[in-house]
Amino acid sequence: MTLTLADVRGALLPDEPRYQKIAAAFGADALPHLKSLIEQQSPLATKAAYLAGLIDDPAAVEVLRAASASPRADVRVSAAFAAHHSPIAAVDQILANLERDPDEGVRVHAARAKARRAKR
Amino acid sequence: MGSLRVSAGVHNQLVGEFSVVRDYLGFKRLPGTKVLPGPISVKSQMDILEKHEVVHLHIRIVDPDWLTTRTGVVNGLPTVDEMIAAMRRVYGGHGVAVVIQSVTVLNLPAHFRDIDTDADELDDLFDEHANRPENHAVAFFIRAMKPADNGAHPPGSDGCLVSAVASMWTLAHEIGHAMGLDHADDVELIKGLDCATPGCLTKRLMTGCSTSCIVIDPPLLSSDEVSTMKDSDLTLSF
Repeated sequence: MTLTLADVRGALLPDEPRYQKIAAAFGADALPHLKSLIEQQSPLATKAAYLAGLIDDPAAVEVLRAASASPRADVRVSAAFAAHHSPIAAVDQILANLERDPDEGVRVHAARAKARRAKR
Repeated sequence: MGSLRVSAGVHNQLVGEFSVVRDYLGFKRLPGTKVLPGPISVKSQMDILEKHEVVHLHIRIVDPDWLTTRTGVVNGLPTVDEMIAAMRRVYGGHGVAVVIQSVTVLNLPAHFRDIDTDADELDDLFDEHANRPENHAVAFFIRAMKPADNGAHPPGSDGCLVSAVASMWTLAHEIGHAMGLDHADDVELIKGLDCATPGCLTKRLMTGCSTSCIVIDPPLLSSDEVSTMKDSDLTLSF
């Protein structure tokens, strides 16, 4: 059965979503919807960015790239948090961009994510 | 006694005739009393409060945007004051007052606005920047957190984090966790979950669906939840 935007939105609705379970259940099928939530500047955009980092699929990079370009700093910092977990190598370039973000918090957390990824 | 009325009025922008017990501390109705709601003397109100319980809460503003950009619950961006008032309504209806002992805007490095709950900043916040007596609760108002939740009660702590995407009820919900409450429903992963999903207890403060789904004001606490709250170390005699 096709995963819908409503499916993904609903999974992210709780105050404390179960991200690992959602990522395992939805996988890459969720990614287009996550990108949509970010681009629409949904109230769920921070959660969408975070979930994308837990999905092991090359297409997750485009979702994190969209989050890193969000006008909302909380979404950009969520992209940095998410990048820490992401197994995708191309995420490093997104972190490099976030390290030059105008927001200090985004820069610090991007640098930390980059350092933690380098230790893996 | 007069100073309490003055400070209550200033704190909640209350003017004219108001009851400290009802309008400031949030008691909707006190068992065994017939004097509320309605104007009564501050001394009478204090006499009532002596027989009841209180949560002492310290507010710590980490992200200054909480004081400058919030446009109110009607716009989906509840203010700190609205969240405190909401907490008082739900706790006060069960004889537990919420007293704001302090409000502090913390001048911390900007990256503290966003808390990685696996990193040292979380411990730094609670160990070094809470500054409150034992058994007093603390709430840190931040911008974002990892994981990207509306709010969080770090295990073992006497308080919570509240992020910028919080609902009006998130503060009351997370302090509820700090007082020992669990979620009232079990909705770990439901595809297409929405506020109408069967099993979502949207009249309960401790709903696990989403506090943004809560449909009544104030939301309910079960008798077991109230007992747990009153047994909590964070609930003290007034």
